[in-house]
Amino acid sequence: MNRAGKWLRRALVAGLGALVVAVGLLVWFGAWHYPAIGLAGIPKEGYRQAMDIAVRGMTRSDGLTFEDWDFMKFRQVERGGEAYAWGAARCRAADGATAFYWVYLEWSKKRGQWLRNYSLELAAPDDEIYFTRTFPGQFARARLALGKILGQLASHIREARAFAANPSGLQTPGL
Amino acid sequence: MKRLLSRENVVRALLLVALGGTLWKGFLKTPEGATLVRPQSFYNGLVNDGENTAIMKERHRDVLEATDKAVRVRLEELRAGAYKPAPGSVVSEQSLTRAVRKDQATRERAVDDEVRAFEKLERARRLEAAGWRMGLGCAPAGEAKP
Repeated sequence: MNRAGKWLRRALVAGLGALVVAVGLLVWFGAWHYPAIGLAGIPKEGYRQAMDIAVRGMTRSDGLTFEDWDFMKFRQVERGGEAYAWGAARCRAADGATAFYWVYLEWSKKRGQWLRNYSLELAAPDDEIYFTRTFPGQFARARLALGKILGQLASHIREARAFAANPSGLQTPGL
Repeated sequence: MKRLLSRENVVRALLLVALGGTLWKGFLKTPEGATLVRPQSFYNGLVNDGENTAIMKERHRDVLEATDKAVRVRLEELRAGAYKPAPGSVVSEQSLTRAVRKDQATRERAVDDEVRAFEKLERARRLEAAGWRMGLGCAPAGEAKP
């Protein structure tokens, strides 16, 4: 093999390695690290505290101010160890408009702690609920969906960074 | 004369044991085997599944009700001028009105799903209370009733 071919192969291997590491980091962050931030050590019955920590971090990183819970629910099974907590929070946007935020936590039997699950701002401006069959078009739809996914990732990273900088700052005093 | 305890015969015997174990495991996966041999774990699984499904369906209805509220509040604030969509946004009075109707249509289905999930859970509990076992023979046509 000549020199150019050898370098090309090395670059290819390095590129593939970087890609694998990037995907691994993404999976680690999204599936292992982010859902658990700040929730370790809270028992199943302490779901109010877990929901409080979760909602403050999520709404702050999305530029919203948490005001109060609209409702909150805790459900657990009688057979088996699954438990769930969910609720909607009333928040204030920077421009003064009202926003509702959906928070959903699941108890992890494997890790013995609460984990963040699918949570988002309800009826956000990029929500699919405003779409019709023909509007927006395919490309605009794809752009909005991609923007939503990347926006959520960026917001999760902001939340993780804020928590790393100030681990106790997300909790309501006295709770 | 061949020896009975040869290497090949040991392997054959181990293979037969493994095959028997596989068959037994498979039998335990069938409702017949599970209700006959391990009824308690069978019913624990059935009730646990029913409970988790019922909770999930309740949550799905809740998220749609919360969305309905969020859309209605947004519509009110848009009409009052407290909420102004960004230029080029898909949010408008029209799309918000449509979203209310869309959410209602999805919710009607979610309410049905929730009712069905609780019926399924109650059915699992009824079967357990009646000590129902799936027999090995052929049941008469129709659903088995406790």
